[in-house]
Amino acid sequence: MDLIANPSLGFSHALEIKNILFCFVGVLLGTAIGVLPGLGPLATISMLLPLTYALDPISSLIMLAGIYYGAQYGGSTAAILVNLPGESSSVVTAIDGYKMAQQGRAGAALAIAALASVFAGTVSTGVVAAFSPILSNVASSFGSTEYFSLMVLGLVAAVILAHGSLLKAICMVLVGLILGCIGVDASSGSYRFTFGFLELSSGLEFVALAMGMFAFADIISTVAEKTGSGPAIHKITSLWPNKKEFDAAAPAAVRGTLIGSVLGVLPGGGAALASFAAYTLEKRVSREPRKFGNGAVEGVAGPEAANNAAAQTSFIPMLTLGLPSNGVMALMMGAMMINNISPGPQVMTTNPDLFWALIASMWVGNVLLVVLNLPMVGLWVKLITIPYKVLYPAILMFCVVGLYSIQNQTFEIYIAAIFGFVGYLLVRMKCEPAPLLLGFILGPMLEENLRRTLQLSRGDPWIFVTHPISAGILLVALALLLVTVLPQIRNKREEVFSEAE
Amino acid sequence: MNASSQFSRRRFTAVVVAMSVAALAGFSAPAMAQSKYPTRPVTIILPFGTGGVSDIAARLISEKLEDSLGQRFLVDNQPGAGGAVATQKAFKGDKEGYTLLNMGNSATIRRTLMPNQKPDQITDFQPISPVAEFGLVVVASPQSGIESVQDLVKKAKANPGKINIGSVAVGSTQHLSSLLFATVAGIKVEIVTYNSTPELMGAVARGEVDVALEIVSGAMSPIKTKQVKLIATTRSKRSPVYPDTPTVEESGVAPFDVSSWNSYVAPKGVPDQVKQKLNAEIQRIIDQPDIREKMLSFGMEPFHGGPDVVSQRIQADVAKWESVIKASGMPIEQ
Amino acid sequence: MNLLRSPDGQSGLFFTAFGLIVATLALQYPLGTPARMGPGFFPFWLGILLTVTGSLVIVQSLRAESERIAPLEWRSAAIITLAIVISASLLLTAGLLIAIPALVIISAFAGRNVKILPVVITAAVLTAMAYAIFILGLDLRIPLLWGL
Repeated sequence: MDLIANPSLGFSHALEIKNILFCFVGVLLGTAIGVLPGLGPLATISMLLPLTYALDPISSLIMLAGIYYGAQYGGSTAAILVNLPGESSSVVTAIDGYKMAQQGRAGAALAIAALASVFAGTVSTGVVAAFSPILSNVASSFGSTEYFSLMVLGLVAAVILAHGSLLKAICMVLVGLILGCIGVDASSGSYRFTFGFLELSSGLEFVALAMGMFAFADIISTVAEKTGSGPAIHKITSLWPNKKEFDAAAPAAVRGTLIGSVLGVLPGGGAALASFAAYTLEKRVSREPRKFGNGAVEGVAGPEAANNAAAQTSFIPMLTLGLPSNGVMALMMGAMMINNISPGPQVMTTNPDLFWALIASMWVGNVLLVVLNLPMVGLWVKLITIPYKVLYPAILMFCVVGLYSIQNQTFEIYIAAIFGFVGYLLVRMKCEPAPLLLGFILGPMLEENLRRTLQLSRGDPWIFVTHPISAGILLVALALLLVTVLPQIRNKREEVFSEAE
Repeated sequence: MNASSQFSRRRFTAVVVAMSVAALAGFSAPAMAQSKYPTRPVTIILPFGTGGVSDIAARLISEKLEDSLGQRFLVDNQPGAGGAVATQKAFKGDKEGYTLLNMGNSATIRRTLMPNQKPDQITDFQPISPVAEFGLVVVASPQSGIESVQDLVKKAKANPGKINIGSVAVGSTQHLSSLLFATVAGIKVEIVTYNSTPELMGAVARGEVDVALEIVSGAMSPIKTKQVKLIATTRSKRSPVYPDTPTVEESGVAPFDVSSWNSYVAPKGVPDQVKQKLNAEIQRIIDQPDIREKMLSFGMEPFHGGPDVVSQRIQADVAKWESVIKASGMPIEQ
Repeated sequence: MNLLRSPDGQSGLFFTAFGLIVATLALQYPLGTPARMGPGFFPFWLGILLTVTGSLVIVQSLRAESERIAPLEWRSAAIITLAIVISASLLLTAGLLIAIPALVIISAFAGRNVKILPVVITAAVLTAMAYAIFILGLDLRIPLLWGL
């Protein structure tokens, strides 16, 4: 009964003209900042938050939420078109999405990303509506031990998603983990590897690292070739995905939605894992894993669906437990508190209109996103047909100003320049940047949870195996690693044997 | 009688006018400008981002200041580098009272932890007005069976080193308060740090740690929903938010009077008149019923007094935290 | 020498060296014990692990007949990096209206067949775009021209 009554209460609010308008403004703004490098949803929402203090809470939350998932969406556009992942979640989209764009399938990649996102958004909105209380129990059963094991699984996934040498991917993950150590160590307060730079005290900026390793490094290695006298690189075959692509993408989007919905619920960094867990899964279940890294459409559909689903379900811990899972959620809690609503399980009963309107608006927002973006695909694709001579200075310009805008300082620009150069050298050595970035994202969480778990167990490492959830996750990680490593070793042996013959 | 009073009032007015004209014409043009303060927008720099309770409070107060002083009071969020970004920016601001900085209790901790940081919020700035004070609460996990501070101390004494106290970042008010609590209570505990208040509250709710000390605002929601159990407040008088909950001192762990606070400071050199005017206005505003009520709903209490109250509080807190830090052997940044 | 010419060999050397440096640097921080990890614990062991896996990459490259590494695009690497660094240093001193043209013009020389006029036009258009989007549209606080 409530399953119908509650959502209809939500829709009655979400479909008010005023709220549709706020939702539209939110997703439009979100898409724009997602596409622009540097500006993230956190910065934008914190800039806009004071303005929303004056709005009624339903409208302001609808708009802020729209910015959040709109940005997740827009981030993939830049990743696909110009190899510029502005959000951690779009790092993996850049791998195959950009390859597709280079093969003239930018339109298909963008359309697949849009459709996978809206599908995931619709399903996960239903998940939030129906299973919030149950899923919040999952979230509260995850402690430091479980998160450590989850991060280990994430690192294994990061290694597997690389398409070259496994050993080099492990090295890149380790380099990423090391870079993640830079800054003030949370557990002791001491400055690590900051070399006297105050700007490094809160760590390296992810956006600077990603821009350097992806966009700048890519420009360095291809600028000579692409501005040569050869023909235009980006031939566009068709704007829309063909049947074969669509058939491959659909099941990937379903799997991605499932993974994303579950991981998004975990407040300690589950959402960060969603997109590349999905990528790894797609690569594992695929009959042609070699396609991955060379423009596999599943490599776009799965992660995009997972990422969007996780963005929706990451509202669950805030709405049901009052525990925000990331900075954006914490800001949204601020927006609720200013209106005298204390977030937590009681929101569903004390402010059912707000709770259900927010959920209904997520679905409305997803529909608006597709309506907004599908017609834009043609326009976006045109963007990369402009001569590279004009395109790469434009990318540089957006990156430089975007990097400055993160903290209103030029430090991040220098960091990105350094990592552009280093990233180019690494790419030249056939080392992929994605595992490094994923190691960088997971590193601080890995260390935190490892340190805390061992402190709580007074140094006993068996705790990771005696906790059942943790043991289960570690077992999955081990299995994943084995099924990836064993065939490689066997292939090596076969090569050796065939040479000997 | 009537006529004479009329006359004297007129004469009085004339004298005042004459005096003002003299003042205008002659000796102190700057004094004149000061009494007209503010003649242009004022910026209040906050060392944290938007959305937190201190940000909301600063915005509520600046709105009221705009109403009463007739100029814009802009709130400028400058988070980053533990407040250094905001301090830097405020230090470069003007010294006529048009640049204010929100100084928090954490500056008194940094005084010891990072003694060489320049500019320094304590030595390079002067207090204008205290604004808000917020106590901490001691919360226990439902699984721990701890119902009071007495329970906690008893349990910790029976099992030395077995009790886990959760806290946020090393060097935070919460962390140092946990250390101080253990010292005063004479117990041996393990202090486990978390990255954020929500993570910490989740850990208490789950029973990963037994108790935690947290600023009231961060713990209000989990207390309300009974995910964590409130066992004490940390000031020497009872908290207006939780008047039925005993203080730590009442529970037998004394002396223990800990709270966090916000004050407005400005780069040194602000004229006395401006300082007094701002102080009086801010003090009036934090006692207005609507502001008071809103602040209390975030767990903040109005912090009364002149600029000297801030100076005294800084001195007291620097001394308090210095002894805690030195005793704990935390690394000091040279 | 095979080692220096193959991508595997070079990267193996890089990883091993980087791992050693990190492990050494981490020793300046207290290592602590597993139950009470110090700030040096995690980076130290990461450095050691990287040294070990890096050496494995070297071993692998010696055993396998591997491809030769692509030629170093030193010209584009130097020019692009320099363009970014110079525009960053100009952004707050000379302002956005100088930094962006400098970025576009310097970086143009990383390409082939550079013609001055199109470069200048590109610079002008992109500067106008930067102004429109970031200053007018997003109201970012960036000095425009010498601190204005």
